[in-house]
Amino acid sequence: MRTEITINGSADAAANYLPWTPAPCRIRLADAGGLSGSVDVTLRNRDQNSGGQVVFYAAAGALEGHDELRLTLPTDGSPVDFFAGGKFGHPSTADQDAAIEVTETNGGATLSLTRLMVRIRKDANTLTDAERDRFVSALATLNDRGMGRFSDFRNMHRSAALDEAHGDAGFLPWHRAYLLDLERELQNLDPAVALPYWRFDRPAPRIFTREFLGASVGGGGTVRFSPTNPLQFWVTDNTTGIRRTPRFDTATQPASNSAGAVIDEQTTLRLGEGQGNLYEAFVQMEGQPHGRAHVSFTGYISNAATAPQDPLFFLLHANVDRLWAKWQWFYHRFDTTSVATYTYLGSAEDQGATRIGHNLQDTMWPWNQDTNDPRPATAPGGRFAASAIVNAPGASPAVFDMVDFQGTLDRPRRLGFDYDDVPFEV
Amino acid sequence: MPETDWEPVFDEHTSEDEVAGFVAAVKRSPRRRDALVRLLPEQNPLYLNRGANEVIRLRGYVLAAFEQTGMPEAALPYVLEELENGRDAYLVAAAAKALRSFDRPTTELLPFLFKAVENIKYADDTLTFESYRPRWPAAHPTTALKELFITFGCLGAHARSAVADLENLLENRRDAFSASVRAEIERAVERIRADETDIGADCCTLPKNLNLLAERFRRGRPTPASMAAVEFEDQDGNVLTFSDFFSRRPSIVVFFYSRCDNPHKCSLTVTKLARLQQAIEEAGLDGQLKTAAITYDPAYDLPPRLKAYGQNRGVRFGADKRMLRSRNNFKELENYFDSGVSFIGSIVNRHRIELFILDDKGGIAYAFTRLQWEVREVLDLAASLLENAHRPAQTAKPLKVAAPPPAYARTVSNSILNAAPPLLLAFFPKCPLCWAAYLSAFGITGLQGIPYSPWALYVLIILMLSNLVLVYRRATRMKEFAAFYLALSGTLIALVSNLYLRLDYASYLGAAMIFSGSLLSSLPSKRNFLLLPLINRGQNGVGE
Amino acid sequence: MMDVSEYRKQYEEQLKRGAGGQARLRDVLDRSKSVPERLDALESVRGAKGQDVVGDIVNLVRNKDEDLELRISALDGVSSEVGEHHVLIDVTLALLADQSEPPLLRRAAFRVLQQSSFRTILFQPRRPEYLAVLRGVVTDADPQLRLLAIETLAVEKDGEVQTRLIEGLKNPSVALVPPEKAIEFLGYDLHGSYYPLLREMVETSPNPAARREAVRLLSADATSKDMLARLLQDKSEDAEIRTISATALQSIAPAEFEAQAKQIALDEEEDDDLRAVCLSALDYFGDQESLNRDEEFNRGIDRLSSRAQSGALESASGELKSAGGELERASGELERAADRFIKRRRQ
Repeated sequence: MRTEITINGSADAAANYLPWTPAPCRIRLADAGGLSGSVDVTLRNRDQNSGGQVVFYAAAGALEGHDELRLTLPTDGSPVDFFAGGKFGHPSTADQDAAIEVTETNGGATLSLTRLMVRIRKDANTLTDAERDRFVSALATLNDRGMGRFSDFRNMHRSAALDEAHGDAGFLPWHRAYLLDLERELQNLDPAVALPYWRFDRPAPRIFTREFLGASVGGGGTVRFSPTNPLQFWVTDNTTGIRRTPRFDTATQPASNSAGAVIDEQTTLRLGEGQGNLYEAFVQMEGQPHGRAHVSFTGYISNAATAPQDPLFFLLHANVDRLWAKWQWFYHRFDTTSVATYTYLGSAEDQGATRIGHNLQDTMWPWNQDTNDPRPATAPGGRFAASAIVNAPGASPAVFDMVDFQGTLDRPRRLGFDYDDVPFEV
Repeated sequence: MPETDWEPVFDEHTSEDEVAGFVAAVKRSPRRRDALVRLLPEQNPLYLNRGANEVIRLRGYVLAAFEQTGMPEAALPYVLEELENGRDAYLVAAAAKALRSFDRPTTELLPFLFKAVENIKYADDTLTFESYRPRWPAAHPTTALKELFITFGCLGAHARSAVADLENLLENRRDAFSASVRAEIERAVERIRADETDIGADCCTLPKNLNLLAERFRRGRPTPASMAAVEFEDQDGNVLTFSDFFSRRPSIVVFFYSRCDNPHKCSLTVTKLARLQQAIEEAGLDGQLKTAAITYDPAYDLPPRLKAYGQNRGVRFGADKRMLRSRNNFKELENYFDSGVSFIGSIVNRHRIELFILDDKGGIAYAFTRLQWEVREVLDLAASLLENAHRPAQTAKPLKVAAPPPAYARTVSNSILNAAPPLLLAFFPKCPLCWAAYLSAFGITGLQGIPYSPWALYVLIILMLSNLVLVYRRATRMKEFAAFYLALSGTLIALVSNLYLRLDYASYLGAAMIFSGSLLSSLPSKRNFLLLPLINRGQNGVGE
Repeated sequence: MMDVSEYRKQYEEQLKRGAGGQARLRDVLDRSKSVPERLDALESVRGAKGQDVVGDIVNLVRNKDEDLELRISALDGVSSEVGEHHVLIDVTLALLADQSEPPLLRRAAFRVLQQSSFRTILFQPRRPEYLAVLRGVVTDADPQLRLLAIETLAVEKDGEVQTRLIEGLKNPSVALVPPEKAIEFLGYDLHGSYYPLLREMVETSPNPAARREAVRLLSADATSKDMLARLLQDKSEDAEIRTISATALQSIAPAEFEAQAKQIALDEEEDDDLRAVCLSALDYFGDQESLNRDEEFNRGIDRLSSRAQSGALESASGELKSAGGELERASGELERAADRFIKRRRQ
């Protein structure tokens, strides 16, 4: 007797990556061993003590996931649907280090073992060396000494295009899309990579090192790398190296400069306190802590037009995005019909709308490839990268598509990523 | 010759102060302003081996001087180039200053000014033109945005159609401008409103394709033998010669370099090349037209860089679609294309936008330079070459936009075709009146480069008649009827010869008379007539 | 197992703990209170939105008689309000420009402006004024402010600052910043006109940091190819200069770099770090076909890799050295590079 599991609607191993958010799965008896009727099976994690862990949901709307799931499978081979997501607090640390074991409920014979990864965006300061090296390696490859696909990402964030993504409500969704597009490109190179984040409100002794994002040594403006770190070959705008000097002790302090430190996570989440915790108030975080984190250094990262030349940009923004995700989770801000979730619910043509690209129904440049005024003249990078695990947000996402990233209110809208400290909760 | 008329020859060794001194002298003696125009082509040795910032300072200072001397038409392409594509506040401000003293203001300048406002709002800066080397803080600082809005105001009645858009900026995009810039916008609106001049029939127009040069005419000579051996390396490292690639079929060539930091120039050019490739495919002309992007910076743009730059901008690659770097003789290429580029060492310090359409022997048929080109327009012109190229014509799908020309058009000789484009530029409509006349004349002489449809004949007849009316109205106002009689005779000859007699040469005579009549009617003074050819010379960068 | 509802409860507690009480603006403004008391009260009005509150705090920031720390904290506290209160940009620009104000406050003002510059729609209209103020700070008495202003203007591709940086490199007596900083800043907007000077710096400068930065910028200058190849080969040259030369040479002459890098990677007498760099460069960005064909080279790498596996690393292996507060890398990088080179090819 043998069972087969498909995850994310695909039998391809490339789809065997789960965030916390439950993904649609199917199981069937591929070989009923001559039995007729049905067979009871149990699904569980192969190793409950190490590696990524999975929880099972019997139905899409199930409130809670369970460590085990019992299902009855018809012997005619027709499939049974279930849902699986990563178990909060138990992400993978290596590719395919999680496994769903299916056993016969009566008798205990193992019917199949499906390897997968609970792929989660983590605090960069806590990555294992192997996780760190995989990320660095994929990023350096994407850059390919300034000649790779990364240059599109650099070009998306140049001065002529900054209005698409800054100074208004679209700041958070645009950057969410930007990061996800990049992350998917990295995953095309190495599917085990998830974008890590830099918690700028905490010391980060393991990030600003030669082995990771480079160390600032002796006041020199260009960070140094270990001889095996491929980021030493990083080239942007035809210049080799990454210019970055922290204005604070990265090993012992949160990001800060002469004006003060970044506000911490709790303060950020309370930005709208007393005023209904509306998005309008929360998005002010573009100045503090976001802007403050940028200008806690000198170098590329401290200027909006040059910031993506430093890989740190993507870790900094992953944290900004995490803060939004956490705010959304905590205050239940996924409902796209509410101004509490997002300030401008219509499109740019509507009365009372804000600048194009910042209204909920507007498509986002550059993925919409719109190069007519007032959009920028070019739209680098083409359409939005597809994913092997989800269909959203499609080739030309709107602001709207970035909001309910876990698909809490509409499952197909899930974007396929999660943060280590932001759970999935219905 | 009096000392003041002496026109110095500048080169890489000339000091900036010497150039600035000359500019100051011309400002005091505005009749010598054409000498300033001659400093603008990138090929001028003045720019050789200077740093990019120095080039910006020099060009900006020259352009700004036109505010005092009056800006001749020959400077127009350079000014519009900065407004349309410039990213440096100093140059854009200088262009805005120049434009407000343009000899022939027109409403058609407005889109360029609005474009510049959009371009520069992220890159605006405090600057001054008080002197070539100002001391800070300057006594009269300004910004590019302020200069642009001052120019709107200076255009007065010609900017009337911009008032709504300017007010819209004040109302709906208030936050996009500082208080002092907003005040400038308000002043501009007031000035425009206060100018009650009737610009009616006197309104001048810009050529629709000011950037299109008729190289074919100028270069009606065979491709020099030395070009054949110019060697290229493509994005995959394949080596080929000029004659290997630029032969057998017409080709479209753009120039670029990957280090270019103006996104409106090389990056956009190569992005548009990709769109052009797509349009070629959609028109069913894949395999009949070649495309190439040649780098100005062959030492740095090695094959992997060429490939990456193209790929990142959607360029398709193939035997007929390549990105190229010169392996042995960029100078030869530069001479052949009369490239609008200057270098410091081997590195570009300034360049214009350049696209060339080459015939099936590698000869330059058309060139689009300086201003943005339109995919459709380039495709149509390139496709028109296929008519004359040695190719299996039956394999080509007909272009959607270019219906088969009527019989009278097909009889046009090549020499006339060759001659038409430069005329197009030199005599490009300076007013709606001329435009109507030209359109009608072109229809009659069957200029194949202009797409038309079966109904075009009727449109042309209407236009010819409208033209006559306009010429007549002006004639009555000016009390000068020679132009009208000329145009009337031309129209009659053209109509009769085409509709009844089918006499080609009579058509040309008619067209020529319409041209002459309309042109005569539209020119306010003899001086401007003499300046017209300068547009062409300035554009070509061959002014000396 | 981390129960999600429990996690939510815990998080609620955390947020509650940090929640501020009443905004105590009166205490902030009360000059009879001690500075620590007023600083504490200032925290309670952080992010306050009202016109009156922001106005009062702005007045505090501008008041030269107030305590410096309090003024800086107050500026910090309202720094996020530029979107709603545009006057904040005027105030902050004025502070930065005012040489009679304490440098610490002006530095904070600079950082607030820089931070605001990320909110482009709000800040871009003020860019000309910002740049004009920065130009005034280029020759400021405070070296830190000077450096900040020069770097910002360099990032903005300011021609005037570039000219001054070049002049400083040619004539150290008029230099506004150290040569390595000047070169670094010129790198924000690299022009062909700088290359001869940069080459000269590499050849003649006694300052290793300046030489390093100069070599880095030459990685886009094809005419420096021969010099970079020579630096890479020269065993007497500074190891880091050689490492940067390797990267630079690979950028402008990949074929020549590969030939040299292969030799260096297998040369037992070469610096191990440089060998590891060369090997990593080949591993990631070399011509993979030609590398795979080169059997002798692959055998050499096999030997290096097995050295790593057998644990025959140098005695320094695994030791961590502390230098300047930063954890120095462990040795054995060469073997790691070799190991990775082989593994990546097997994948």
